[in-house]
Amino acid sequence: MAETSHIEDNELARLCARGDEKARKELYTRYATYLYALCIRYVGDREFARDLMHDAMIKIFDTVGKYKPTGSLKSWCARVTVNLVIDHLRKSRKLETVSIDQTQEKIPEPQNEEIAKIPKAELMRMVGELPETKRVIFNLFCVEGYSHKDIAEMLNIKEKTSSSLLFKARAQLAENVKDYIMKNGL
Amino acid sequence: MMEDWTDIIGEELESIEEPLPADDWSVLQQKYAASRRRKRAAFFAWAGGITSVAAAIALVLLLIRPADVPSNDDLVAEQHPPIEEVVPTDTVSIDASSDTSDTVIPKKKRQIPASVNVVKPSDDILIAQDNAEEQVPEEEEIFEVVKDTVSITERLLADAGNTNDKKEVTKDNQTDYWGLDDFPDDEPKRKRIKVSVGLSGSASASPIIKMYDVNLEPPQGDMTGPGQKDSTEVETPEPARALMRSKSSYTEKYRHEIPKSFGVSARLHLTDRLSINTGLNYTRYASDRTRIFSDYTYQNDRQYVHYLGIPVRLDWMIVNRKHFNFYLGAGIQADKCIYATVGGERLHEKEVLFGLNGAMGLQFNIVPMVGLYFEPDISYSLNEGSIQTYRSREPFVVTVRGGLRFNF
Repeated sequence: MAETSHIEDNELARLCARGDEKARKELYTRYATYLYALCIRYVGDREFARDLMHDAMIKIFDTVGKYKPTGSLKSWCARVTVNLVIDHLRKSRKLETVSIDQTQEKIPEPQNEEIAKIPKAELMRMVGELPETKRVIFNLFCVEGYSHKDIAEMLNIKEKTSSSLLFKARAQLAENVKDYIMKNGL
Repeated sequence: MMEDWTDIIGEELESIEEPLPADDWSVLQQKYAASRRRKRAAFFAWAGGITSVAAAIALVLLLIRPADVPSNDDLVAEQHPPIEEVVPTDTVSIDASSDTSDTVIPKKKRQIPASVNVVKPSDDILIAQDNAEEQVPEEEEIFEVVKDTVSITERLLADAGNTNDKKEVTKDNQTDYWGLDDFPDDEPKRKRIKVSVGLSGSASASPIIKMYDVNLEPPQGDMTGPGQKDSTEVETPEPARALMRSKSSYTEKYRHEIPKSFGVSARLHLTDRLSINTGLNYTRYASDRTRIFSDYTYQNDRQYVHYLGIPVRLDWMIVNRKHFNFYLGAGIQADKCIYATVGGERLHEKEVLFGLNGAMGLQFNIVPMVGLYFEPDISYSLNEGSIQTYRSREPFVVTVRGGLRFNF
């Protein structure tokens, strides 16, 4: 087996596709913790997230031959994982239809400096406390950078629904951030 | 342009990594191995299913083929003019006149390779030309064949290309040479269906020796040996048994006995050499299970698991003699657990187990209708199910089957 610790994404993907066990271990070492955190962001529950991360790694091992070196391997792995998580949530009907309230009040938004003072783990917890569908849309839009059109296709909803749910997610998150800042005197 | 506050949250979250347990990689490896086995099982199940359906369709087509449909030979005979003259020499020359009259004067001759040993057919199997018509002197060794027989030209040319059939074209076998046995009778020939039914018993073993000897080392203290057959409680009164079972911390060890199997099978001969084999196999797996609890008490239980299996296998006859057959086969088998107990308690196995098998068989035909067969086969389990048995320990198992086969 080849030495894999310093090889580039493209070569690592090639070795993994060839079935090199050491390369798979290297791929796991590089990205498993990131993908695990990604799964936690989407589903909240750590055990469930770990199972999903394992499923995603298995899928990555099986399909890594399709990776094209136009983007980073990390982004490709994240995309595979997000698709798998969304697929799983959709099958388990956890992404239930949410009634949209047409009235969208202006919410007081936190300042960027305030956000920067909040620890990452707390931000993770706040996002994790969002309702399932809102959490998924927030992650897809604000973290992964998908457009509302992409999100609408992925979740089989209307673009308007996606933007409305994102607005509500932002409102709830802003409220949580304000509460945290008030409590901790930041 | 100023960043939105959610963008900052997004960037923060995007960079988060969560630590994983130390054994996570080995857990993932196990899941990956199981996933690959499941995929293989699914693939072979599909492939086996498709093969079985294809075999069944072929079989049905074979059975419903109308007997009075003209064969290819008949069609050839209609489309091509018959041979009028054949001159057996070192190289056989055949007149291939296109004239369709009953008597034809040869116009040109076709050469057949000299390797074909052509002999003069006896007069009684050749129908001579009508005496009223042109008489051909016998000294010239020219023979005439009536128009309404099959095209001998085609037969000779086919024979010349098939070296396996050379021995049929000998002086001792003149009738076969002319193929008169195959000429269409007044009654159309119906394809004969050959079926064999077998009764078999078998015992299995793994090619890997470690399978036989599961390391059974109960802790110190009074203990029952591993060979104990019945469910046994050691130093444990009945009230303590329930308590013991409720303990979450224990290890299990199994000692598996060689499985015993018997079954019935039916073999349908698709051609002289190819046959499809299916049937019903019953297999009993017996094991001794020992649970060793964290407080060093332990408990022995007897486990019985009963499976019914349906094999589907294609056999290819390598040697097909009157008293002796040798064949090779390959196929799949699906096994369903019909009943399982351990220590008197029911176990449930919902999964259908699939396996691939390859067999090598010897059959001694005592009389034409009854044969004694001996059939070692090697099988590979594609999935192992939830109950620990001899089969689940090691995917490769060698089974030696023996039985009687009745040929109809």
